[in-house]
Amino acid sequence: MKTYWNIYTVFVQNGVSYLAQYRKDAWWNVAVNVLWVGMLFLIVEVIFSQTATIVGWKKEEVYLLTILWTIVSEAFVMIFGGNTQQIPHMITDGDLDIFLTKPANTLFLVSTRFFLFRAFYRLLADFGILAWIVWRFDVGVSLPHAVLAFFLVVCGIIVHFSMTLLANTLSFWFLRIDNVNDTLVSLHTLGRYPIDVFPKTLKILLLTALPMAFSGYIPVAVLTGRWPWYAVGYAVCFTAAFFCLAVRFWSFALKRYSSASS
Amino acid sequence: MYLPILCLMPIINVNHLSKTYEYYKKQAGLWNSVKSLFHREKLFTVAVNNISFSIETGEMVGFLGPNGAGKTTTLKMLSGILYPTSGEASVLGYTPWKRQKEFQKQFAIVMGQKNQLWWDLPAMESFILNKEIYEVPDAQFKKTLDELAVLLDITEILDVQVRKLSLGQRMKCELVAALLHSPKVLFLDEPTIGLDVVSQNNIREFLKKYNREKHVTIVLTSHYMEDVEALCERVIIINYGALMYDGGLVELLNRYIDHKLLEVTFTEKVSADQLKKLGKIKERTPQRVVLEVPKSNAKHVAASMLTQLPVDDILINEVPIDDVIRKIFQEKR
Repeated sequence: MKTYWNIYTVFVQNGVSYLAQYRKDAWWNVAVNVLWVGMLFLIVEVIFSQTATIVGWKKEEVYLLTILWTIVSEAFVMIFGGNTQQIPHMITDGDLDIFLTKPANTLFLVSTRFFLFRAFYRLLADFGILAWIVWRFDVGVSLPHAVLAFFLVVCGIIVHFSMTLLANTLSFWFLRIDNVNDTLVSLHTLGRYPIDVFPKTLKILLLTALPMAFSGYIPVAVLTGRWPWYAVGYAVCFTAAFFCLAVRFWSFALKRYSSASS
Repeated sequence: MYLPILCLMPIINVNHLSKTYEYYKKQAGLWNSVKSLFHREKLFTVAVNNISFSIETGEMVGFLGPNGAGKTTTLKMLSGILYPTSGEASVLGYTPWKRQKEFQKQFAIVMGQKNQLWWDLPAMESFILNKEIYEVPDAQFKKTLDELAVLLDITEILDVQVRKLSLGQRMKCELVAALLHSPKVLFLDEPTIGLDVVSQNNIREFLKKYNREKHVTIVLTSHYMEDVEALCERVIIINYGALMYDGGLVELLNRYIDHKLLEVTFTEKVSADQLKKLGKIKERTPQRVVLEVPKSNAKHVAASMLTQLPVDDILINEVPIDDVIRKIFQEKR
């Protein structure tokens, strides 16, 4: 465990080093991100200028949903930094070779090697917006609820990672799956809507086979009391099972790796 | 407890190892592309075909063969990157494709056409990462790095971004990254590819010294026969995945080559008729000739030329190893 902690520390340090090499890019990125989050809020504002609630969801709750979904997305990008999305390229180009020879878990190395530090700044900005929402709309959040929500945000990140891993692992068979990550990004946006607006079948899908609801809906549903606290049990069990499935699938697929010609 | 037994055994053992890749045939053209969406013909190619050999501790072995012969596939199986289709192999007593940590900590692979260094960061950052991955203690890391940096003359470039280094400097850094954990077995897949002659020579000298001092077992593939001549006493030749020769480099030359080359410069023009009597003309200009003569007769022919012809200079050369290998591949095709 200590070894993995040390390796991860180097990944983070390298992320900082990388940021230092391309500082302007980092600041530009933060600015674009703030603008983008602003746009999301503007859309919410426009919708709620026409109606007081959407399937029982008030404006501040949708704000909360939007920012928690953004936090899950940014944290995923920061920790896994697009690493998992690089898997198809690593397979077709044979770049996986060197990782397979290292005395450390290949999946760990492949999926965490690039820590996107600039996303850390964006995440700080997101937490600032979250604090503003809680203060501005006087969202009554008890400490236990906040802890549960935080826990569920972590589950959301793990589920998002697992889903990305499952999809990208398919490239061991299909080699070129260029659209899979674009599709995932599009599907992921479903997590920033109150899923109660969707038909029942789609809602069930978003809580199970395509678990986008974990990226925003479930944490906010628990935080606002829509879901009872014991629903956390489902979230934890599902997250653990989904993560195990993704890792097992990866291990199985790794045996099919045929590298690339030199 | 197992050390004495291991010392008596070869460090690398390969038994009837084979690897078959599957691929799909697709004919050119739009209609064929559309058809292939529904049906493709699956084909198989045998990259490595039932090869067996063993390598002793401390040996430096050249692994030769033309492009697509199966050299890299064999190295990838021996380093655990690929699973074989059939056969067995053990490296340091381990089955490579089981990818056990104990095994992975004792070998390294350097691929000339791939790099493990972080492109945008100084090489030092990659070295530190490898230190953590291989759990190298601080003191040992510092000692090994200092030693390798001096040997390879890279002390000044450790903190320079990898993307700003020359190809030669990058390859030296790749070698350092691979050797920081002091591996017992080193697989080198075309380590001098693309390098200029000076850099090639530097790498060769380093490998020679490293092998001599550390007794590391090295398996080397290269298309530069100078690498093999300079470094390896033993060569393994494969073609179309099958083993064609396993033995000493000198024996290889003796077995396949029965002639030497006389390179002669004259002080005045010499006719072709005069030269044809002495041997087979390989190259000729009015005042220079390269003659192919039987090995046993080379000294006698050289002496005759010195007395009979206006010789300015004469050299008795061995046939270049490239030509020998080419001849073997052509004969066995």
